[in-house]
Amino acid sequence: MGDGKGATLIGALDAGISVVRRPRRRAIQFVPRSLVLPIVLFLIVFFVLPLAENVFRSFDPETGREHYVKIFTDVYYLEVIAVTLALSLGVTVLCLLIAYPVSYTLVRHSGRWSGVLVFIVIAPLLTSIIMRSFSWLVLLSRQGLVNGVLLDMGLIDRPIRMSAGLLPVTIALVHVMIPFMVLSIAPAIQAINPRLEESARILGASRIRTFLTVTFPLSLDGVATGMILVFMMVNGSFVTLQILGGGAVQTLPLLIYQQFNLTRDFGFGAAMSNVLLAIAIICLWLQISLIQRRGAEAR
Amino acid sequence: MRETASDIDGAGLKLRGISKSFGNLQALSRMDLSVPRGELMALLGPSGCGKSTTLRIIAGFEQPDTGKVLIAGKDVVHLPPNRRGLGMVFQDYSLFPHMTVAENVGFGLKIAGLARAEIAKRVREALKLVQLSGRDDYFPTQLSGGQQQRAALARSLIMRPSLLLLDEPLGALDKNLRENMQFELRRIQRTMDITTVMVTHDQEEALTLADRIAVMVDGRVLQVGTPLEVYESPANRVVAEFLGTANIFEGVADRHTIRVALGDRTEVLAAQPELRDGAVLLGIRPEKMWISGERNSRGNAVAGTVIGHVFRGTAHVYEVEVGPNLAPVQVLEQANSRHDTRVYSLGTSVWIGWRPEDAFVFPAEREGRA
Repeated sequence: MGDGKGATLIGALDAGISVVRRPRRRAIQFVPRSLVLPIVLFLIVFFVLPLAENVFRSFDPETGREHYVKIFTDVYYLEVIAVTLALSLGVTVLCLLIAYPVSYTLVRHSGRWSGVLVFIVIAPLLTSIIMRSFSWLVLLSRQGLVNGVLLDMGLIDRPIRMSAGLLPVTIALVHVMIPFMVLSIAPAIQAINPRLEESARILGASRIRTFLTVTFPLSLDGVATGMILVFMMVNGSFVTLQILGGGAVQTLPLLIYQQFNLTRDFGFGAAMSNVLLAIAIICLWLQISLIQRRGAEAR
Repeated sequence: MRETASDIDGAGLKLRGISKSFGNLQALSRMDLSVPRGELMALLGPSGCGKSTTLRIIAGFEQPDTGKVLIAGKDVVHLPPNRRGLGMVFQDYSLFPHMTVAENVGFGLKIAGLARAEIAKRVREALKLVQLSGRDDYFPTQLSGGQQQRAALARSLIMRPSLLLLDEPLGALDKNLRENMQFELRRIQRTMDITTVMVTHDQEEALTLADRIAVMVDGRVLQVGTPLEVYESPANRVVAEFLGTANIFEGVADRHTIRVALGDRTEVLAAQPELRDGAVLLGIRPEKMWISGERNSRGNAVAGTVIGHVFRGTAHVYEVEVGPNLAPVQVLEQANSRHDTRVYSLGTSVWIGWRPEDAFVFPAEREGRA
């Protein structure tokens, strides 16, 4: 579920970016319009219709908009939404802090090692998200590697319980999301002409000033794309939270799963998934309007 | 040239024994160069000759393996680029795309921590100097190539640098604009009286703009001199052929006379009394030669046959064969008047020649690297 949503969001993002960045050019028609028909039909049947059905289900005749009232008035559900957003924001910020230096090194200083570095960055994507999350469970368990090392070093007396809860969830999500952040930021840095940084240097700017006044502002497009991408994917992530959350971290996707599989309150589950979808759409809209404004400034 | 002894010692730029290699490639070998205060020096050479590396070493983006970079008498080799007080204009101008023209020009002053009002005042002055007043709020992409060039120049000049570095400054402009900018650049450089080092592979640009030219090939300076010196008396064959066109003949010097096997003549005079006897090369520029239907009494003359002709608008260029196993000689004749100039068609027998003092001569052993 989380992955499926992630994939469609990436597609949507890409489409959004490419449409917005070249607003004046008309798309070149590579194929006759009729060839687009199958995919449009497919999307209508398997994407638009189910979404529409979901909306109808959340407003069933008996309850009306009661589900939404419950989500937005009940403190418990508000808290779940808050936790979901806070977790997404936290993971996004951590990813940015780690991925920016990695991207910069990758683009500017890796030389002939860049291929190896790119592979190391992308390699985690080759494994299923379940495997990656489960590996963290193994590493962080009572008898796991991390506890073992800490015990051997004498830093702790007995194993810490850290295989379930906010910490492992955050670690695993950051691990999972970093490739997406790097893949968004690295091209933006790549597109910055090194001469611009040299110009700033010769005009008297130290390395740090150069970074703050030239490099970072010019990479903001990539940073924004990466942040919104990661934010939305964490918002919708499910597997990692299910495996490592240990019930301590309740987010919207987990509640939705419970509504459909345990409580079997389809209407309420549908309402919650619509709220999640709305958050994703708002993010997307934010990003597109950001890029549009920057584009307008530059012209 | 307006250098004095004190200028050479005091301000300006001096490179002493600069070497730099990248892996196995020797980019610069023990290079020396002096640029007196206020002078515009052009580093001229084919791509890969080390001229850009020299500029990057002066700027501080590359560290030389050995040697000193003296700016105003002070060795700056260990200073980072931002502490050297230089100005630099790149070929692609490198204006910050996320800043307006005024923000670009005021960037250095802002970094230096000047007050807003002072920055605004000096930005206005700088934009006026480069004739960009009123473009303050434009973004670089809204400017033409020439305007971007001038904005980049203003951004450097506003810092009142002790030394201005220009990397192929006019390379990205089209021909007409380039000629305008040559005068513009020279005017600004003279007005500011700013020591300038310019890198170019365009000989015309170097000849037009520079006070002196340093011709570089394979990481070494082959000759330094005024445009006139370098053009009229090249130090060796490489310089002669890189700057303009030259007809080069092999000959032997013997007591102030240089013998060259040319057509039916074997003895040709050249006025180079200080030359030692031995194998020499004699060079003569196409435009220094005359071409005529009959034997002319002025100086040397050789008979030949026209085998090529190009009309260049201001001049006719002929290729004349003067003998078997000899490269054809190029002769350039000004197209003075539509009616006076006779055009020699292919196959015509002609006489070509030059005044002895217009030829340049150098020993043949210098030729090795042509």
